[in-house]
Amino acid sequence: MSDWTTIQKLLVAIPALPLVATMVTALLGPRYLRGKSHLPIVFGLVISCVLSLELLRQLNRAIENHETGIGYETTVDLWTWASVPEAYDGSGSRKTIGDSTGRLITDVHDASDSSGPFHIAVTLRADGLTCIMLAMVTLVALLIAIYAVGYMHQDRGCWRFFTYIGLFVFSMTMLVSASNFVLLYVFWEAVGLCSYLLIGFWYEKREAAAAGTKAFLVNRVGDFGFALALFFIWTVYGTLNFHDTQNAPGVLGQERLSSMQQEFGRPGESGEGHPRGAQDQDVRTGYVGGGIGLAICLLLMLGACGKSAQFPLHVWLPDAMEGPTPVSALIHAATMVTAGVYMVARCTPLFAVDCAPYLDPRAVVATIGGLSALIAGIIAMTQNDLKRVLAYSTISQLGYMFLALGTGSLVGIIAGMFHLFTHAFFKSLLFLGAGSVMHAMGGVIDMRKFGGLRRLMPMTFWTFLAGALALSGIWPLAGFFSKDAILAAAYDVGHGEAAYASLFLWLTYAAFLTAFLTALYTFRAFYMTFFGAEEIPAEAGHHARESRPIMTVPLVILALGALAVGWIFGQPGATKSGFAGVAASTPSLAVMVHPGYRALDTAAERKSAAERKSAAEKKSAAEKGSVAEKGLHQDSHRRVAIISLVLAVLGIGIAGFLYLGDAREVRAIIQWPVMKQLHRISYGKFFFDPVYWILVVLPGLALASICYAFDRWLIDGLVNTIGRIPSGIGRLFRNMQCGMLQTYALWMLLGVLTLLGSAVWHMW
Amino acid sequence: MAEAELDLLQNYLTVGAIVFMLGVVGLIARRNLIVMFLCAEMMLQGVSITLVAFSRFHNDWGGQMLVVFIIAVAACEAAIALALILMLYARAGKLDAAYWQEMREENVPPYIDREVPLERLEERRWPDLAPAGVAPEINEEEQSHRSHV
Amino acid sequence: MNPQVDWNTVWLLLPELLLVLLAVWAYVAGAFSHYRNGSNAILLAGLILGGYLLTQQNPSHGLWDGTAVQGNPIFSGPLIVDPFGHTIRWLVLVVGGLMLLSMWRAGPEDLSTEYTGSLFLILAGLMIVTRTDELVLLFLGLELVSIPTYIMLFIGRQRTAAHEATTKYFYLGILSSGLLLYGFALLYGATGTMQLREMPDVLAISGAGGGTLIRLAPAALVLVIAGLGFKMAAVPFHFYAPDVYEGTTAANAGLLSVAPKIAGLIALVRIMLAGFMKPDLLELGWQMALALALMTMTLGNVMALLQNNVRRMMAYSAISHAGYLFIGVAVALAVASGEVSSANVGGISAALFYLVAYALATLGIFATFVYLAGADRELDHIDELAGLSKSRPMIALSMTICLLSLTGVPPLAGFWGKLELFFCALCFDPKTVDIATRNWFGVLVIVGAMNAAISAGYYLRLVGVMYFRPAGKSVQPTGGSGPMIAAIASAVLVIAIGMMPAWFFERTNRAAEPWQPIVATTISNHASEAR
Repeated sequence: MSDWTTIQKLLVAIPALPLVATMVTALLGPRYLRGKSHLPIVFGLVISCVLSLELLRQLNRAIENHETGIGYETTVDLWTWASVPEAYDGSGSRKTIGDSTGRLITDVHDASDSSGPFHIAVTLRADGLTCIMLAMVTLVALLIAIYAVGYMHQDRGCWRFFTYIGLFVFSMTMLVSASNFVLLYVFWEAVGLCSYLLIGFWYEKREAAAAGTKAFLVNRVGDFGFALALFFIWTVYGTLNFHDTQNAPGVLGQERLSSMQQEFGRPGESGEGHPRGAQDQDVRTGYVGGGIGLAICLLLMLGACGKSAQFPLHVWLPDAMEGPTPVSALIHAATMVTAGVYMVARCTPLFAVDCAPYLDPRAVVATIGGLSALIAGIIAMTQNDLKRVLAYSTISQLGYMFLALGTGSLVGIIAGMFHLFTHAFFKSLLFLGAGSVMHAMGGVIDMRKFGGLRRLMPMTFWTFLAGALALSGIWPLAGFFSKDAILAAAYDVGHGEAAYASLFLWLTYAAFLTAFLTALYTFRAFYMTFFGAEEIPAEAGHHARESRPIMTVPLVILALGALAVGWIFGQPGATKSGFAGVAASTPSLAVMVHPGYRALDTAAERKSAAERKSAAEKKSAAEKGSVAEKGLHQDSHRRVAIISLVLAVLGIGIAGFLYLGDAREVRAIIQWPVMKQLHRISYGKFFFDPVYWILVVLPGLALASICYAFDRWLIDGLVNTIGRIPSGIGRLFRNMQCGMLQTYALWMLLGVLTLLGSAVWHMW
Repeated sequence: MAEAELDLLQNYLTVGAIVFMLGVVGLIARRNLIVMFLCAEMMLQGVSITLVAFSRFHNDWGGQMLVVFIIAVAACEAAIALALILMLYARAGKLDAAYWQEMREENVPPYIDREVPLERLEERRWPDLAPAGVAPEINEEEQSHRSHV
Repeated sequence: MNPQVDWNTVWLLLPELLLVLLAVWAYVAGAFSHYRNGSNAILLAGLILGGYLLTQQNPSHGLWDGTAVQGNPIFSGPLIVDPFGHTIRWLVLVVGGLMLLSMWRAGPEDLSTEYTGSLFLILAGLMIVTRTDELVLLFLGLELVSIPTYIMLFIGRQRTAAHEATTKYFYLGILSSGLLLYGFALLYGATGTMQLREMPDVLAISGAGGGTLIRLAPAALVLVIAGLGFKMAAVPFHFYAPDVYEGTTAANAGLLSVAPKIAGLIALVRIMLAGFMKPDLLELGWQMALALALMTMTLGNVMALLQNNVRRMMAYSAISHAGYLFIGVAVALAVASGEVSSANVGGISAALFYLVAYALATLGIFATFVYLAGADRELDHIDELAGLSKSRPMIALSMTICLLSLTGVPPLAGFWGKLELFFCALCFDPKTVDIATRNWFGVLVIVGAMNAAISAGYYLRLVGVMYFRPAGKSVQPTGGSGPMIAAIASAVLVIAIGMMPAWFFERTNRAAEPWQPIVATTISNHASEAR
């Protein structure tokens, strides 16, 4: 431990503190701390947050001193969790894969080198992505925990709440700093557990309990995919580590990534009849494409869809708003739901493999993202529950992030991560604002029941406005820079020469439409809440006033963040040490600036090798330049920026026109035949829930009742019958135990004689 | 030589086995606690005969040593058996081993003795006891007829 | 290598002598004073002193006179000094300590010293059995276990049921002694020596007396198995156990379930792997052991399911565990008869480990019964345990741990014991061992595993009653703190063994080491014969 570097020490301390705080709260909370249960958690989070920022600073310095290789990473091995020697039989498993799917893998490499151990260590890593996520998670968690002190002060289950929050922060920090897929999966599940516990925090409420169950079950679908993906990765690569180890190059390790620098995932020159991209790759050092590569990506994406509430697994997130509002802000807006984005970004090299002749996985990611963004945007238009509007908005914004990841370019992925970063600020701000409103309104969150709160709650009003503007993407607030970067990246691909250009063009249009809708529904909610005649529901009682400073101070800090983070980090001229620089130093992203990387929009892809190389070099130079010198917001995309800005302003204006005043126009508009149907669909949330009910839940219930009957009558009957056998045998022998001394002696003698007889028979 | 010795040994072994089996069968067949114990002692005597025979045959002292210890242990067991039997008799008024069958599996019926017709009291014949404290008289008549060999 | 008895022999017997002296002291002192706590405290101190003497006699340290060589046992008079005996002696001392604690207030007040004195004679007898190399001393050791047991059953409690229990145990006990002795006699006849260490050599030249008498050996084998099977309560020599356990006190039942079982297993291992060290005899031996194991496990468990009396249930439990011990014996005999096994834990080692796990858990349970019962009342029906988790949570927990260990729930001691037993029964080398043999051992393991499941039926029933049945009338524990300490200590030991089984397996492997060379030579003999 003493020979650890500062980075390693920080890396261990950041998750450890919330864990310790959680244990303290869990042990002392119910008896001693009671109403003061927040103290250990807040204290732990303060230190954790400071340490995260220090870690970021240290990392920055390390990156600057580090020039060679692909990106920068540091890992720290805590202990070995599981170790099975000779577990991976490379040749055997590859043969099986080849057999089962016929044509995926054909070559056989050196068999002597094909076995490897199954070695899972508790290893943490520090790189750009991790450190940014750590800083964001701990900072937002700290602010929200402070806010929750005010929000939860009357709740009897206060200690339980803070215990869960501490556990969540521990899990989330471990999730983003895990350096192998198993650890990632463990904490992936752990944050899911915390989410379940916190959604169902008020478990006496039927809806809350049901929502918790729903979230958990829908997530299971995604986790199932994720788990399968892990199995595939293990089978194909023989390791689950991100980083290189002595035994094997990690899945995302530098040694394997270096294969991307050279000839990565190229179709074979003599390609006929061979899977492309796989045949000349040694899996010990390279990446596998083709069907198996696609399967890995799609299954990973399924996991990400579950966790990040993307179409078609988004249905749990709106219901999750039954949880306490700080939870909605922390888990279901800022941190946990972005785990999917983080995971896909982390696995960028896996998504970049050549899956020809099948789909390109990145197109799938982008399509899911774009669709989710649009659908959620449309649904958010008509919801009356303030928190649900924000929930759909979260889905929509997460959709943007996936769209950005799907572009497959460094700029796009960094834009996605940047949006994740800014979104954490303004969305948690909006949620906390909504919570503040809800707190004041005595738990009422239906926007039709209150209105005109701007005078009653000025702090909430102004901070909410800042968040709403940031979400709408108004210059120079945070949302503008990140969203614009995404749009620009998508626009680039759409206007490139990739096979999927037209798809991306349509996705770009959808994203523009979503940007307009975002502004519209955000300000619809804003106007309905804060403008119009002052209206306070009866439930509010004497609560109806501005929240206490302990709640408004985090709001103000987050509002400042929403105002400034985009400006600070997203400006042209940001250097290598800025957001883009730090993020781009992540090994799995840094590889993209190298010439071998197969970008979606590379026009040169199908050209000859020489041409390809030079084009790639050019591209890499261009990307390097664009990232390092111009920052995220590229001048060449001024057009995109202007369009999105205009759309946002238009959205705000139309929202003002429709919802300021008595909303007469709205009623008129929805009488239009087209709008009427649209409204019905939007209000019905695209009927996902009923459709799932019919397609999934009902058959499930039917199957369950059949199984129940089967189990109850047949299996139970069988088991009970079998269970009676031993005691039945016992009854048979019972009469031997009759209590008579002589009988016992006789049995013993008979036993001896039997044995003697068998001995005689045996020996003679 | 070996043949003859073996034949001799076989005789001893047969006697030992018979005594042992008599003991075993007696232990199983008899219900009187004292007789049962005597039968158990008989088993040990059978073992002792066998051991002594083997000891002689092998020209080894070990078997005879074991016999000595068997006798000692049998004495211990006899002491315990006597104490036990006395107490059982005091408790039950019987020396019947079948009396002690309360501990058995539930739902297993107890054994009941077949009814033996009671002896009639007048037919019961007690042994004649010698009068105590009186010197027996000399039967002159018999003395006169007794042959002096 | 001194066949004569000399001072060294006496020194080697020092712990046993200490125990006997303590017993004699207790008998004598009991005539003058009935102060239990005092005499028990002195006896306990004596046990600790015995433990100290044992540390001085550690064979792996070459003993005090430096004659012991690593791996080779030393002989002195009728004694054999090897790690096997030494390990069991430790077990005996620990078991003795636990039993003394749980019998702290058992027995009638005026006979208490006779009671604990007899316990010490039993312990001395057990220790002698563990290290005897001669049939005479083995017989005496076994009788030194049996005779004080009769006395303890006799004075345990003055009531009809106890008398009945004593009667049954006594008469069946002397019957089994007779069978065993006849087995000894025949074995003596076949080999012509009382020294176990000389027997393999005699057998190798096809017996004493020109090869005729060797034909007595199978009969001797059967009789020895029968006599020792009675001590281990193996089917069909188990009949006394349920009745005796039910009739006698809980403390006595605990003694009966542990002490004779240790003696029986050790004597069986000692005799079998010396007196019958001939491949065909050993083959017969393992087949019989396997058959006994199958019957004993199954019958014990299925009968236990039907019981409502806790002691009767534990009696059947003791029977079924004897069956598990026979698995280890069968494997050891099969390996010794020339079958090649690849298990790194041999049958004897596994059986020893199982014996330790079983003894501790069983003593813990009986100590609980003693604690919950009292001087004038026994805990009989299972339902009397209802609500124990509420009224005595610690006791309920420790008893639950012991029960789970007996069931074989990981990570408790019983689990590792079962695991290794099953494992060593499955590790026969498919290249040399014929398929029928492996199949039989496979069946043995399957039946063993099924029996473990069946046993959960009645062990968990006890747990269920303690934890989920509301208390009718709460049990008033009158057993005092001795049994309570014994129960909790047993549970702690069970957990400790479960947590670091490797340490204990190392010990039991070392204990089973003396047979490794013998096993190896037999294999090589066998192989040369085959050639």
